[in-house]
Amino acid sequence: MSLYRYGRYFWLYRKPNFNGMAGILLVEDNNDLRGMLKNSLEKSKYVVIEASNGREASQKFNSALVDLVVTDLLMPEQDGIGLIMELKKSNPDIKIIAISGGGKAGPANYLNIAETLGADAVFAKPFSLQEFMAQVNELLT
Amino acid sequence: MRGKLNLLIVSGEMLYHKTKKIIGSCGIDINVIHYPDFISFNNNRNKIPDLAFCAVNDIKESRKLLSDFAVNFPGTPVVIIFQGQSPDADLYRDLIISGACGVVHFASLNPIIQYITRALLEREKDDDISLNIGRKIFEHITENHDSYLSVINSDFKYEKVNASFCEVHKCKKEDIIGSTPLELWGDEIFKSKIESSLKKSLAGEIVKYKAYFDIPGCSGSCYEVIYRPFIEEGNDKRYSIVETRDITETDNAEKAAHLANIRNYYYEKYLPFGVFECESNGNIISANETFYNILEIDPSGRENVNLTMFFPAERRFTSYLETITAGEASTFSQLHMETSAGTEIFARISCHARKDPGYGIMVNATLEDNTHEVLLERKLNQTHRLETLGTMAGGIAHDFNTILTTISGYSELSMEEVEQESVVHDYLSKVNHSVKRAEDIINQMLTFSMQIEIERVPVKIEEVLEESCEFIRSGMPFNVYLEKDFEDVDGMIWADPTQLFRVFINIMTNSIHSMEEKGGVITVKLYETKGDSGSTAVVSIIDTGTGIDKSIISRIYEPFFTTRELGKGTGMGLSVAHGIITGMGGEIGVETSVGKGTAFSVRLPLWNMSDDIAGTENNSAIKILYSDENVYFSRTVSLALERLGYRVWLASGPDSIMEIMSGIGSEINFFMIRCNFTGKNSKQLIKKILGLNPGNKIVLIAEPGGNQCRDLVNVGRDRIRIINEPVSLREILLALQET
Repeated sequence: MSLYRYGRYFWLYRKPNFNGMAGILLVEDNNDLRGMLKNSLEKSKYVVIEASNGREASQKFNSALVDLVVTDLLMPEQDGIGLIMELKKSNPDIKIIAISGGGKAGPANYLNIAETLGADAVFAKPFSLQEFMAQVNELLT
Repeated sequence: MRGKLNLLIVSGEMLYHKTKKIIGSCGIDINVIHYPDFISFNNNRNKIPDLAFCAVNDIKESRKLLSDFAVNFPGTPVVIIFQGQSPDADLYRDLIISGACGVVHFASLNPIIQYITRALLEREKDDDISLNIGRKIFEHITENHDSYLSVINSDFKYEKVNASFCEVHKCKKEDIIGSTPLELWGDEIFKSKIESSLKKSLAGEIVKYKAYFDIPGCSGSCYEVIYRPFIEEGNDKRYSIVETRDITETDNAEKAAHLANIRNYYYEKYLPFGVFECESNGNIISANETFYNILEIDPSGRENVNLTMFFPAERRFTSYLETITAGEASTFSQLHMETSAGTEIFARISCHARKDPGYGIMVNATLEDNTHEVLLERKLNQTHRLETLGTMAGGIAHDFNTILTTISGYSELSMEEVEQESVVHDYLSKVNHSVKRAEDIINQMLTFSMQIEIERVPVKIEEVLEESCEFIRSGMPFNVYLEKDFEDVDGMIWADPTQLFRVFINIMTNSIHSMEEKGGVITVKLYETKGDSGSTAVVSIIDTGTGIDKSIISRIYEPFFTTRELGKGTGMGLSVAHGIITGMGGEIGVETSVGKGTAFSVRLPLWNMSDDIAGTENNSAIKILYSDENVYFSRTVSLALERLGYRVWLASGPDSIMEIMSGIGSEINFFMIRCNFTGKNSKQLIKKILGLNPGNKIVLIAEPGGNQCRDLVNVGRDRIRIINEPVSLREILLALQET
């Protein structure tokens, strides 16, 4: 990006980033779980923006800052499904991991949500943190 | 004759004996009473004498005596025995005037006999008089009797008729007497009834019959006719006394009573509940057929039935009976009774008590068999309870899942911070292990509460059942055997095969547990029943184990309820099974007998495709293109269709349809399109599809209220069909079948 091209508006147009570190928007209403996931993600040097419901998430979302959205599906005040569809509409490239509360009954759930909503991966609680982190890493490289 | 003549002698001793001797000598059998004088007679009399002989000494004495008698015994003739001078004509006349009916001189008593004889004759004459009076009264009665009376002689002629007879036949006595019934009644009636009856009665038989006929001018219509024979004494003349009585009212009353009886009979016989009468101690006085049927009482065992016989354990019903007071109505519901055959039923008894002079308190009641309703109610209650538990369980489960994720997450993070060989690492891995266990239980709870989304496909139930039998067989203890008894089941069930498998495994596991100690046999049966709403597949899993106690049988589907020792079972097996089966629209039921065993039955609705699409060979001729933006849905549908033998191509919108069409479009003959696109393109597309092949058919799945598809239909009338959202897999298959 040349300084010359944008003149004094350079700082407006230059895409800020977290020094190369990917930004993750973490949307989860349960404080403990959100805290645990934040700890784990930050341990892997990701930058985490937190939200406790869909509305808050929409407000905090910034396409320049966020590379991956991790969201619970059933939350009060605009659930995750609505959020995902909204985000996907305006940012088709955004990566999404959905967390569902329904039991592990079989592949049906996953496929349903994953493909209908456009999520890249789905995890059903309770999930293994190891597997989750592996998936996050995969999506952000 | 009115019995013996009573003779009184009022005289001294000597005269009495003399008189008695004379009476005795003439051989007349009479009572003789003797008194010395009138006064003593009057004081002691107990009979009125029919004749009196009185001894007197002079006229004065005789006058006194005669007046005494006249006053006290006016009907008694008195003969004077004159003890004075022999009476001359004047004295004789005097005595007679004074009231004596005769005079006899004491010197010669023979004339006494004359007087006695005369007295006897007079008596007979009196009988005649009373007989006459009786006859007069009798005649009056018969003459004016309501009944029509007639006397017919052996020449078949009317000899006597009463006034009623004449009145009703509107004739005069003179006209009737001498004529015959033939003339009066006509040939037909005479020949059919009267002639034979007359003959019989003249022969000495009493003939009675009931006849319906109309006498003009008479309101009655039903009569009783009685022919009584009469034989005149002395000359053996035979008569028939015919009495015709108007019994119309009685007849009508009888008919009404009969009708009422018939009505009662039908009520009693055909009313669908029992009607009975009993004493306050429960003894049945009378009951209708339904009563005996409900309580399964043999026709032979209907004597001495008591209501309390049907209340097995608690004899509470007697105390109920005691609370019934006269004039009040009571209803006892949900009475648990046992019939004569040992069947358990629930019944309702509604009764009303009254005071009966003979029996004391008498109860009139109805008995209704309510077994069906009561069991249904109990079942609904149980279902409701389980549903509530399910909702609660589901809510808890979701929250727990979140918490478990947090726990396992932190323990994993912690494990990364410590040495792998350290104790802490070991502890933490154990934490994770427990989390896994908790996860299993939560899953089961969610299954029980049917809050798991499942993918249902057509499944052949015998396949799944076979699989589960084999699975169980491999892990059974040595003292348990498994036997199979499968019948052919037509059709398939809509289920998730994994879940169905789990149901059978869970039930069979329970069966094995109940036979742990003594061993036994599990019998697995499969058969089909047909009912009003279609066919049902029934799976029976029967064991010879310990059975389930009555007190806990309503709790077996509760989550976490188990009779096994701590650590030996989670108590979720049957809950999960119940949740799965109910979620499939089926029923799970149990019958058990403590000590004998338990039988679980699983019923699932069978879905039968019509014959022309059932065969897989035929289906492969139909090639289907299914287009849906929802990839998941299209995958499910295509899977189901392929299982049924169709060939399916998937498309996700108009573009991909076009693509496929350009490739193998001519091969496809059936199109199913989810109508979520609009615009001209759609019309063109449809036209193109229809144009490709005249045999092509299209089914459009439209949003309700969406106009798009309606327009599209106009393009090709009978080859396009619309079904509305929301659709289930089953509806799609049905639409396919119908088109």
